[in-house]
Amino acid sequence: MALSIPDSPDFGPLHRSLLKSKAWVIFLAFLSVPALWFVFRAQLVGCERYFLLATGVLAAAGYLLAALYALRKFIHRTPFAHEFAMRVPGTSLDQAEIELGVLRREISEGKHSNRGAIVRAANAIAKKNGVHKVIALRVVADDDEPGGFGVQTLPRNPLGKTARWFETHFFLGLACPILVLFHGQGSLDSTMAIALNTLAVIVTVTGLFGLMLWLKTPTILTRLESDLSTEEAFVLSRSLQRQLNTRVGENAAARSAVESFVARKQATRDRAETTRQDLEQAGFAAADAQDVTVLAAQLVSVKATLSRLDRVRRRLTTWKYVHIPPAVLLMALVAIHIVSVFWY
Amino acid sequence: MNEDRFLTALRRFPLFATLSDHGFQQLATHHQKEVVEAGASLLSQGDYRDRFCVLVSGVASSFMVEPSGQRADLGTIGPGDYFGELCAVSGQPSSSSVIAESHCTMIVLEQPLFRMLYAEPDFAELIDGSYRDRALTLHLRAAPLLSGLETSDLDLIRANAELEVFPKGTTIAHEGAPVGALFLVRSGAVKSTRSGSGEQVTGYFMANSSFGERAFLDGSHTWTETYVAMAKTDIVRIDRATTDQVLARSPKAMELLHEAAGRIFEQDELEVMGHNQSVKGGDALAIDMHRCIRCNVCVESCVAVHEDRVPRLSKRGHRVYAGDVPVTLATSCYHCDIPECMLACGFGAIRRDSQGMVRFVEANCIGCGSCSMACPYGVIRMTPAPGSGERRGVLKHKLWETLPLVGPRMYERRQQKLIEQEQKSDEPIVNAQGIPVTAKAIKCDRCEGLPFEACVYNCPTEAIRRVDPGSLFRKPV
Repeated sequence: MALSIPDSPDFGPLHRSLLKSKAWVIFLAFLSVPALWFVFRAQLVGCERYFLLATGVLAAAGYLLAALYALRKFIHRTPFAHEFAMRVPGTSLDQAEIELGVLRREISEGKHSNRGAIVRAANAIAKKNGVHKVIALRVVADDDEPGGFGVQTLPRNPLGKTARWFETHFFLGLACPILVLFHGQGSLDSTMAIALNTLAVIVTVTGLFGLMLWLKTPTILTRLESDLSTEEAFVLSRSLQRQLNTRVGENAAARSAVESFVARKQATRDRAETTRQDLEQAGFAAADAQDVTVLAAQLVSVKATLSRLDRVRRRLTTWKYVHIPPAVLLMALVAIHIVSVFWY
Repeated sequence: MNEDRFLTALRRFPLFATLSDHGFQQLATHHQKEVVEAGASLLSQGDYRDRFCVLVSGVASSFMVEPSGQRADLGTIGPGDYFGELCAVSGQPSSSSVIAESHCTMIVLEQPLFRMLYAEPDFAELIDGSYRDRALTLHLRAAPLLSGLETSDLDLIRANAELEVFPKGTTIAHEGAPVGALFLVRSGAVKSTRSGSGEQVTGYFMANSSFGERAFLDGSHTWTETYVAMAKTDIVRIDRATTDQVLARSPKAMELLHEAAGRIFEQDELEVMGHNQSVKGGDALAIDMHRCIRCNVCVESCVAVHEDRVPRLSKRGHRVYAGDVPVTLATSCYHCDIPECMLACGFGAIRRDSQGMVRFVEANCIGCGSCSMACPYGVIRMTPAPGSGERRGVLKHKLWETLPLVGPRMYERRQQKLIEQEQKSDEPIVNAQGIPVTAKAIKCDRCEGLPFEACVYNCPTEAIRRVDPGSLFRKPV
């Protein structure tokens, strides 16, 4: 089954697609509650209780939704995502495509001119073959033939792309601390209020810091990887290691000389010369000793590159240290806060 | 009709009359019989159905839709006639459609059986003859260079043109040699180069393009470039005398020739695409390196959707620039127009589905690796094989591995453990028929049967996506 490639945004920086994201609507919708309150507060005297309830429920729901993003990302790294169980046999998809082909031919022959009937016929084909959960069918006007229609087959993306979830996570992360602030009405007179407000700020600030790292680091990393990508460097290092193991064999003295060279962070000329002499003493012919030393020096250099790239790559993950634990704590406190409100 | 009478009838068909007893026995055992009602579509133009069909009873009609949108009838097909050889031989999409005009019985030869019979010289000769004849007829109707010519001109060309098949790497015309003909590319890809300071690529010619027009326009007598087949290529050769004759009597032909000669791609685009071999590909998996946060979700979700827990995706690949954005063309199947892997596989383990996707038939794979060697992009990998480490997320940092001081040591220890696990798991495997094989060919299957491609679907920053490789280099008009 050939799936049409849906319109995808242009290549370019991440912040551009965040700014263009439709998740702005969620941000605005969440903030519309305090905004409306400000505008109409004179008329809403006596309704403070409902305002507190609305901001509280929204903030809790927002944080829950934001946390679901992390859950979704995690579950799709395992075989347990429910969408993975939607798989249908390729033969069903092929059969559906053949029948859709017949439908397309009938459309081109003018046998169908009613858009609704075409949609129904296409959906019936998908349902009959059991592929309706896997493909979405779109009936579009045919550009080449005025009044004609085409049937497009698109992937269904049941839960929506993770990228959309990330955008939602980002905008919820921005909106929720503001709601928390309004919910507490700016007062920090209890431990819970201090903790919730502080944690909400920490989570948002660290999230923004992480986003900044996600925006900057790939560019730096790509520049550093211009000669050798991390993946290539890793494969190369393993290949060099294998070659060295083969060349050194079971010769313990030679192995020790090579290992002590390879363990170094830099391949200096002096150290290479020492290794070459050690190899000769271990029974290697001069030419062989030279070859093995060159291989070892290459390995040291590749490992140094890998280590440099690793340091930069680590930045992409490290920030989560200051984001995830406060976020977990925040969620726990939110739960305690909700329970205590209803309890007392 | 009982089975014996049916087989006797089959044996009488000229196509099967020359088969050896062994070949016919194979045919009798492995063919599939299909009965269809009047009006059923047996083959559709543009479909990639690589099965070969022989009509046993009934009548079918063949037609094609020309580039102008006109339907052209290609005649009727009766008992003993066959169709589908163009797809079966070349792996190219069908150039015509076939519809049953009455209740029909036909036998279908799937690729492995067809390849087996095709190895018999007499059968191959018949098929090749018919292939040349039909491919020529169909191409002359579809070629843009000849569209709009008078029937008499087309007949003249038809009578004198020849279809030649050039294996990959063959030189079609040498720089400096006399221009003896006009060439129309039916399928495959041709590269033109000019000698000088090293070999300089001057152009690529794909299906429905042509070369040699300029010699007829400016009167030059020698080739100014060398033309080499980049893959198995079908070429229609129209000799110089015929071309001159048609040009002399048809102003339309001259106009079309001028148009074709002026259709030259932009040099930059060609260079980039040529170097990256993207010229033959249909669909690329591109990673925007300025967006990729190296979280490895793409590879891990690829692992998650495959039962054997081996990722089809490798993030290594050609690095190109889309504007100023570095893009890695990941090693994912391009579903080539000319699937060299499929042509190289002698066991019917690689097939095109009806939509042109190149698929593995796991049960037929014996792990010989010929597809892997034939693939121009290095997309097909044999597994088990020395792992690249990506398989188990070796290069991905766990959160605790980013801790200062102890983190790097934990990371290295886990890396070592994973590599050892990977080496241990490199044990012989069995294919779907239960036959032990030393390796299995794997490549991206675009998450067949799922409502998404896992890597594209799960990328949090939308760094990885499917694109037309040409669109990466195409300049805005």
